Amino acid sequence: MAPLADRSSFRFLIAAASLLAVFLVFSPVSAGGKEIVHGSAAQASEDVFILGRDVTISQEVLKDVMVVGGSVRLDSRVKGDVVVLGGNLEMGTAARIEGDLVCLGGQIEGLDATRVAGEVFAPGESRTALAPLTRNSRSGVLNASLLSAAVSLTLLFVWLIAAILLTSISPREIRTSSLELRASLFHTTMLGLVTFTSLVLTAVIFSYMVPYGVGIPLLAILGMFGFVAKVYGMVAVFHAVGTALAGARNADQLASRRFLRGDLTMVMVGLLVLGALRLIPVVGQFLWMIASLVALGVAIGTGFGRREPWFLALAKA
Amino acid sequence: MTCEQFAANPSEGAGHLEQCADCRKLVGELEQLDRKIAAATVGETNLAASIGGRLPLAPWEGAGDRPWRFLVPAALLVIALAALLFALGGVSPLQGMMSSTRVAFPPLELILKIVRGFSSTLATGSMSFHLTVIVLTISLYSLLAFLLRRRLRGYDGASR
Repeated sequence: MAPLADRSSFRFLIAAASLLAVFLVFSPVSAGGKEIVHGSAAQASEDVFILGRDVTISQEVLKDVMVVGGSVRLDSRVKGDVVVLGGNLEMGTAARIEGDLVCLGGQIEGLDATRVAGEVFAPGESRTALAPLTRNSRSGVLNASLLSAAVSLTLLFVWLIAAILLTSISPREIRTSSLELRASLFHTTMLGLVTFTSLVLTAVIFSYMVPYGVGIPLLAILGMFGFVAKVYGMVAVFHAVGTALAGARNADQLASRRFLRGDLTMVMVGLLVLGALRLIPVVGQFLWMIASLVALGVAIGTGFGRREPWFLALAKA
Repeated sequence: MTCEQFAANPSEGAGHLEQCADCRKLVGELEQLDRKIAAATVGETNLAASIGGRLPLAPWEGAGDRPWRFLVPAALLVIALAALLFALGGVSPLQGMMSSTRVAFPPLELILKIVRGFSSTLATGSMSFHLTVIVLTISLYSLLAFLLRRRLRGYDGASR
């Protein structure tokens, strides 16, 4: 067994390498300043593609706007879609979007549903689901808060159904993953961090192949893999949280219980606790993000609960 | 047979007990002690059973229980609360729930739009950007393989 000092140094190295990798992947590609989109005409008639830079759009755009790895300030009308990946979107008072609005990996400020004619899609923000609803409902801050909580509860119910189904089908695997998570939380978290960044980079590599026809099927497979890993991992995280909080410690406790027993119950307790925490602004989303990383790590690390090594040739003796 | 030999191997010393009063007394006391331990209680609980009941639980003990009487009402409560909040917000609960689930399951055309746009945006990148992506991918996968080499722990203590 390695000496304690060596193990601590090793853990520090792993953590530093993982965080450096994440920083390199998600930091701005260019240190360039803001770019003002304008030209001799008052309109841009082509699609606007921006990579790794912040941009302020102050002229009318007749087609789509796509910004990757940079934030956008929108001060004019866009007749097509606006897609922002890995950056924030700030909508000025004159901003209008006649197509769809997509914002992944960032926040939207100044979102007003009446200024977006198409769909609004921003996962992780309950305001996304609110956009079409607030057009038809009463206005007011209290109303928006009620709808936001209702959206969160609906998504919680979807998670609940998925968790019950998955735990009923493969309880042993979920329990194995939950146990591994509780035994090696640090390693699982680092693994999740590296897995997530690896998946993102793999998606980037596959995107290069889109013009050649194979990119989209590959991306679909990658997306499905990531989705399944996340769902499985989150159910294991729910199980771990539920067991840590409400699991029976000995046979006497188990025998005296009527309800808090079994894998399904532990999953439900964990889900309800994490779901309640998610309702807390900012902190809740951060916790859920950490839980998602841990979920990826435990799904990949345990091989979806099968405990089989991924690389036999490299397995330690 | 001496008393020490009898103590070392009592099963072969039945004759010794008939001759040695000390050993006979000792055996009698031990048998009485055994009966006392078996019958010992703490409060109203049998001691032997209560010690077993306090041992740590194995992960699979009680894992197969399915208390649907708790699970189903809890699930219904969550969805009922959601419906109530939608109704209070002035939105049809069904419409609200459909809009909410679109966040988790976006339409395919939207995904294809994002993918094609992302691919076109990548084409505008510089050569150094593309090289950085390749180098980072190789490095991260190496780190991932390194992390996946580690044997799982869980309840398999031998992996340490």
